[in-house]
Amino acid sequence: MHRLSRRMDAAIRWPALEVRTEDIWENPFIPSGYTYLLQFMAHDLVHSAIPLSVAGGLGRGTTNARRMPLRLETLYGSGPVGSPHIYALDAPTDDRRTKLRLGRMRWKENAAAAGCPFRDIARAQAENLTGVDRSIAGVRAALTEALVADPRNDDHAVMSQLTALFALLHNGLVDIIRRQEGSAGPNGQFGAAYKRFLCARNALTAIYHNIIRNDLMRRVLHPAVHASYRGPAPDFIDRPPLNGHVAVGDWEIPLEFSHGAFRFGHAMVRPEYQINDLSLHDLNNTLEKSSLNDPANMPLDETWMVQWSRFFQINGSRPNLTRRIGPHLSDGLGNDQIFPAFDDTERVGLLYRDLLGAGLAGMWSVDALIAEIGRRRPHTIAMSRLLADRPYRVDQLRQWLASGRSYGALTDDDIETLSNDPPLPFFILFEAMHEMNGLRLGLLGSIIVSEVIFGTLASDPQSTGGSSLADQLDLVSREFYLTNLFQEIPDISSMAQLVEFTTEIADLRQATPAFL
Amino acid sequence: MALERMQVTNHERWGNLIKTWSTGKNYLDDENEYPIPTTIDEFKEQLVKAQVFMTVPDRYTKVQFVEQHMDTITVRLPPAFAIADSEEKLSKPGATYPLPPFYKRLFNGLDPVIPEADKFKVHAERIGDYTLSLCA
Repeated sequence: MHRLSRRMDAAIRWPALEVRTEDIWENPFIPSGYTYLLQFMAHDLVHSAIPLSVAGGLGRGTTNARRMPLRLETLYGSGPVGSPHIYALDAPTDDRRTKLRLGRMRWKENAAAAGCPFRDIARAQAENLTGVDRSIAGVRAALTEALVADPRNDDHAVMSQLTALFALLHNGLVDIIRRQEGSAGPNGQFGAAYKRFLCARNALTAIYHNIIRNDLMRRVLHPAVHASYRGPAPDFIDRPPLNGHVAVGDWEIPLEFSHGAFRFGHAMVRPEYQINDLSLHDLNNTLEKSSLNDPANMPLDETWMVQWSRFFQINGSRPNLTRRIGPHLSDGLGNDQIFPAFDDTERVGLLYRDLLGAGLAGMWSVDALIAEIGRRRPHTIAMSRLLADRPYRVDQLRQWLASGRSYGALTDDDIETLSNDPPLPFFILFEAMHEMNGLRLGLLGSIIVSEVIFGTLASDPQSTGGSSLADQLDLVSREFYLTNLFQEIPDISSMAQLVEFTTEIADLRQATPAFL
Repeated sequence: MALERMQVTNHERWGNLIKTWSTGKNYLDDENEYPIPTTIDEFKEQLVKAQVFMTVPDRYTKVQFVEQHMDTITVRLPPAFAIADSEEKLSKPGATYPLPPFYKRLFNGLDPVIPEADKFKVHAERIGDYTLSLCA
């Protein structure tokens, strides 16, 4: 695996596209915000105590603890009672909590001021019984603790900013409800707070699902696969329908998804990001910016405040674009401080972890997956020669591996083994490069991702592909109140629309640093 | 269009690769061999072997190694276009002077803050330093 990962270090010679981009490796159709929406979704689907590649085998803390996938547990945790540290107090006189905490950002050149806007996630200092203190005495306290439901949502600066974006939207929805809910009286206040919280949470979940279905998946999937799964009653390959919905808890996230296909997002990460009008940060710097890695420089300063039109296309903006999807990752993901070596190969970086994890997971081989899908959906497999014609597939893989063999010092035996039995995460990237010019996933990658994402959405009775968002929000509101409190919410089917709506309800149109 | 720069991910490995090329002794403590590259492709292959993870823009097609001697002053002049590009970037309001992340260690772990008024001074000082120093 480490020799394959070294082969994948060679830059891909992409063919030019009709749509010009500043760099040949950029994908003009997927702005970079979607890379991190995919990461956020991955956190909302899978949560295990230790990565498989580091554990060395299944079962040693690698079990997926996420029981309600894609229901925003990654944002809400166990709610105000189970996870009170991530919620802000509503009132000075009781312990109601309905809004998600946010933290103040910091101005880089100015001393800490109480007036800094709440644009970062909440972070806190905590004294350690071990005596370890990463503060800089007399200068700045180390904010080692990120007050978020899922610590991975503070993996790096863009991730924590995306988490803050969702928190701002939740808080705005709470305000919309509060304005209309009327007085609950002293004894009703507590119950009213929970109704308000649950109603806002369910509304945000409906918006999130609408974006996953109509925006994110449309961009990353093969168009034919997206068309066959996005409707109200997809014909799933991997699961039987149960009364129109798939019961939660009846199935686990397949390893072919979590340790195979869904790793494709790593190939979309850019080497640097224009965070806002004024600041350009390289990936190494971006990956380092978390409470875990860099507590003395928390909260994030103004150079890290994401201007969302730089990450999603909003009103003609020119956002950072993702990398085209293929078997190569940005160099910053080889950072030996963030992804150090952990075995005898001394191989550093994220790519090796992905490949090793796939090898340890014991998942279906590429051949077996293609054969099984071909048995159930022969017309689909027939759409791709790479999938339908095994000798052709092996030959294409062999040619690619041999073309850069000096990078990985691949032997003839290595090349034969890898071209006949490619690790799934590698093949998904190769397929995207070979079949789709790196602009989206190929057929096999799209089917695996669709089975899990649309299957998960189908398991949520509220998230049906057939009804409009307005209808869903109406139902959400009437579950808790007599009327539809969400009539003022426009159709939100894309991240651009989510950002614009959040800008309005959080009153951030004139914000400094710029939010939109 | 802004000038794309080389970006080093693992600075210590990069420094050890330079030391290896310079002395012939393997400072990377691995099984690989690192003869001084003669082509850009060999250069990139060695970066991969040494796990430097350096981003090398496509515009680079050649590599040149300059051996410095104790009795010769070697002044490596940066391309005028690169200086103009830096100055243009620094002239934008709010632009900050970028420093590699390891500098933070020298600032007690704090992100170095170069005041707006000093950024061109620091720019000149750094250019002066690394065009003349012996890199050792």
